[in-house]
Amino acid sequence: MEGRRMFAPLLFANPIRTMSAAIPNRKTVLFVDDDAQFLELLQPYMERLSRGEWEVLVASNSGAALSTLNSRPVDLAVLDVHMPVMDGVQLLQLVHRKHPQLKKAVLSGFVDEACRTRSLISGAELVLEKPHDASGYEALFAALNELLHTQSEQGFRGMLRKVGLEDIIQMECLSRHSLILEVVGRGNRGRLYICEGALVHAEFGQHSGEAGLQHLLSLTGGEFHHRAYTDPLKKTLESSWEFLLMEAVRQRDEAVGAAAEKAAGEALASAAATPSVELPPLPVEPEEAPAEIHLEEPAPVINELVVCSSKGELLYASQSPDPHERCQLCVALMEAAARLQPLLPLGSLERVEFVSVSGRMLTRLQDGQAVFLRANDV
Amino acid sequence: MMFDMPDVVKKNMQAWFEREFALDGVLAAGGGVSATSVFAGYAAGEFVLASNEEIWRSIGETVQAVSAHGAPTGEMLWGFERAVLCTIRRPDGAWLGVITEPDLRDDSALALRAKLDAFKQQNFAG
Repeated sequence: MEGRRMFAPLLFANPIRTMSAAIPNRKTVLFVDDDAQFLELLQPYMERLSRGEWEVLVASNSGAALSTLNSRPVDLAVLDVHMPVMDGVQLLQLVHRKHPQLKKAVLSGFVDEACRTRSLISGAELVLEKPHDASGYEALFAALNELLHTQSEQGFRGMLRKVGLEDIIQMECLSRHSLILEVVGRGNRGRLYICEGALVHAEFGQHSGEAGLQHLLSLTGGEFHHRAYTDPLKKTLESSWEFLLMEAVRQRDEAVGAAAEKAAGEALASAAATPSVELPPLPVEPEEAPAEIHLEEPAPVINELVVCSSKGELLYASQSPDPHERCQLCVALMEAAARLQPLLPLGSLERVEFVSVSGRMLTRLQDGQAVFLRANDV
Repeated sequence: MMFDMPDVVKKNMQAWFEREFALDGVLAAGGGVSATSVFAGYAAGEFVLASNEEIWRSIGETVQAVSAHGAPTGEMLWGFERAVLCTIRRPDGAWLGVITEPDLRDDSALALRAKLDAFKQQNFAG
């Protein structure tokens, strides 16, 4: 507490208080300390150092501090941790619960590591020792002023797993935010412009507009950052965000389905020109989707492939533990088709899918042949 | 396999099917307590043909025949040109078949999914 004694000669009448109301973006700072004399000295000095940009309020006990915080907006609360009845850390915890957005600092005559840790855990963003001379108070002012002008980070920080970009876009649109969502993935950079909850422009690599949005949404991983909104050079999206998202997701899903169909079709085509022999295993890399959308993960991995004729002749097999049994299954399904088709006015039976927890088996019946696929579930 | 299930089970199942499968997009539903003891549970107006029990008998026998070849027939989707037939076979031998339009709306598909899952656990004896 000796420090403030050295500080006393610096005091002088505060001319700023009378004119300060006219200063825009004025910050309100509340100092809480049980030493009323200290507060009496500190209040005008901090206002002078701030050149009127601070309005300094003081409270000499917890009750007065809480009353002030409840009655008017305050930008920063600076608390002494050594106070009677309710110590500063308890007050800090209470204030932090009631005013989580309020910036908080601890100012104390003696700060040890335990006090620092407790204070930081309890919501303080700065833990400072009371200065002992004028330059120390200037440094104190500078530190608090810096904290006051640091952009508050509102909201939560953390990692969400299995959250798609469409979920993030949906949240921003529903909240009617304006921002630029900068996305990096697959070696490319993209930007999505959201203006008051409306998607106005998308770009990814060489693509823009709906194609850009589709490419953004086809990413299965990457990073995104929020940027302050500025108008794009050109607005390329006009439809509602709901429609744009639905359409882009639909096209992505179709591309996934097309990848699986393509795998079966290619197997069928190769089987037609292939003698009945056991071939080396198929590579298990995911098939790449056709057209412009390239997928990194979602294509199914085919673990077994058998092609047979309508008479049960094995035409092609890969990774099958018992290809002849699979052929018999295919024949049974072709017989089932022959039995059911005349009874049911549903057209020809094109495919049969077995759904189980471990994966899917798909048999495609086409041109007198059957293709049996076993794939992991995607 | 259960070939001698009491009639009450079959009646309960049939009543449940009639009540639960009148859903948007569902053309017909039927099933049985075994492959051969079958019933037609529900048929939409434009699909009265499916009220013929013979159709369901044929479907039940087909699922049974396919299961004899080692495929998991617990749940199967039969994709026809103009419709999809979903069959589910429970460990106690009870089974169902539901014929739907090929492209169900999301809400209809979700409603149907709930019914199919309920069938797997439903007690029809009580």
